[in-house]
Amino acid sequence: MSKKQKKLIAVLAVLSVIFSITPNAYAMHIMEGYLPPKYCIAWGILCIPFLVAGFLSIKKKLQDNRKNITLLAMAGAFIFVISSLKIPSVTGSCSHMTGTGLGAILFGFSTVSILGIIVLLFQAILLAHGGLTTLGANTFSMAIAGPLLSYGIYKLCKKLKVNRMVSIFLAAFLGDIFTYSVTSFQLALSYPSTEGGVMASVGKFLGVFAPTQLPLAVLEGILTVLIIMALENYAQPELKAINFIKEGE
Amino acid sequence: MKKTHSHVSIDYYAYISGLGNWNTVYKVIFSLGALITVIAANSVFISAATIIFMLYLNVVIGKIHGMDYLRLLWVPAAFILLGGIAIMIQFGSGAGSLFSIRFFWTRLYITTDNLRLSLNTALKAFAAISAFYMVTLSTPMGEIISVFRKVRVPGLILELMHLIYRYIFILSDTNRAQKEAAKSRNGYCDLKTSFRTFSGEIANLFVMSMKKADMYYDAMEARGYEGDCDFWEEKKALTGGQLVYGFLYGALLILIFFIERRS
Repeated sequence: MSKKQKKLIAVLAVLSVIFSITPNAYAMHIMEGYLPPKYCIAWGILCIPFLVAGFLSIKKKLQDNRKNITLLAMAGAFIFVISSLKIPSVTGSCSHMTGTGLGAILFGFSTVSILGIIVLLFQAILLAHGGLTTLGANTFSMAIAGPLLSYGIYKLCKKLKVNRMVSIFLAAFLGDIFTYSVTSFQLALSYPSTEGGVMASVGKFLGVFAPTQLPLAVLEGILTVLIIMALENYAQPELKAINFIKEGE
Repeated sequence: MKKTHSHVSIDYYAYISGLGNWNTVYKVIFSLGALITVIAANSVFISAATIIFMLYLNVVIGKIHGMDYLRLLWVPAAFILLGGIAIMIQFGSGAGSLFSIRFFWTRLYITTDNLRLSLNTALKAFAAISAFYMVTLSTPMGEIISVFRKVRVPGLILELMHLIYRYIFILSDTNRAQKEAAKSRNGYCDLKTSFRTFSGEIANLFVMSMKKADMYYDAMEARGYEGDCDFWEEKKALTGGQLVYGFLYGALLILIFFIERRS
């Protein structure tokens, strides 16, 4: 075997390992112990204004109607459960929804930030996905940045009178892509490349996680459209209860 | 133990663990202390020592089956592996590399430093996870939430956490039943049908969860709920035996620190 062939085999071996392991990956939670302390703190601080805003909005919802407490808790549990469901797929691999797009569209952005941090904490404690020290970074990417973009796109499309199916797809799909890019950026900031620094490193992290995250984002988009359509068909009263549809619309 | 849902299994261990009678606040401080030490020290030896110490605590004292513990440690492996690859492989001119290969217009290469960094990061991640497992595998959620109460997290958030925790199990049970019903009716026979079934399932789950929310509120109100959820907490004494492990771990860290400084 020539040297070139040996290298080729080594590269193929690495690639096959990547592709055989990725199907089990969840959404991109940064694992416990992966970020240096200063980044853990910095990302946590960055979340605070959003969390305070979310807290106040939840508080107001409860003042309006005390009954909303069980509704909000159910919404949180719902986000947790859909994020642990396996998406059906051809290859028998198992990927999971992130549920951020659906959550943001259904429950609104401000609520999702608080529910999101609780869900992420539970995922860390009960499922060992993500962690306590990386909670700030994960909250920023999954409970703030992704939902914010999803919600923004959804509202914008509504204003521009884009086809509903297209707008829901775009919101969920781009929300996922954005979450994945933010996470890659967070990782790259902590682990810059030797040559090219942070930007080159962003490329590396994006590339490594692309095989799982790109198909997942497309699937999530399609599924979110199907779910919202099914909901609009037979869950009108419930959608009104969470103000997704206004009375008389 | 074989369970289909991994979150059920971590929760299950929390109730039967041999560490269950430890004082909760002490356990959380111990575990957090170890976690912060591991990421702040950033040293291979401290990471390795933590992995072994926590393995001992979880498996020998906590009485978790060894294979189950390893399986739980394996959960985050996919992320650690992929992240490790991204940290390890560099691209560019590739000066002073251990191994390099042409890749389109540029070269992929690995240097000794990057190799060391990626292995160190993986080890650190495993150490941090095992330190965190010390608390999650031995403490039921109710007790973890009671620690949040002690650090003055707003009551509203605590109440939401308690309720969400309960509802998670209700909803995943509901979903299990839905899935079985759908499967028995050939709902997952091919990809197109699977997609329709899956989204129908979620939509239905949403409807059910909202209906249940209404019902549960009435049930709570019927039992005198006035805007505050109070939960029963067990008092767990802090004993000398528990402190010994903390001291042992601390002594181990100091020992490693001195050995590292000398060498």
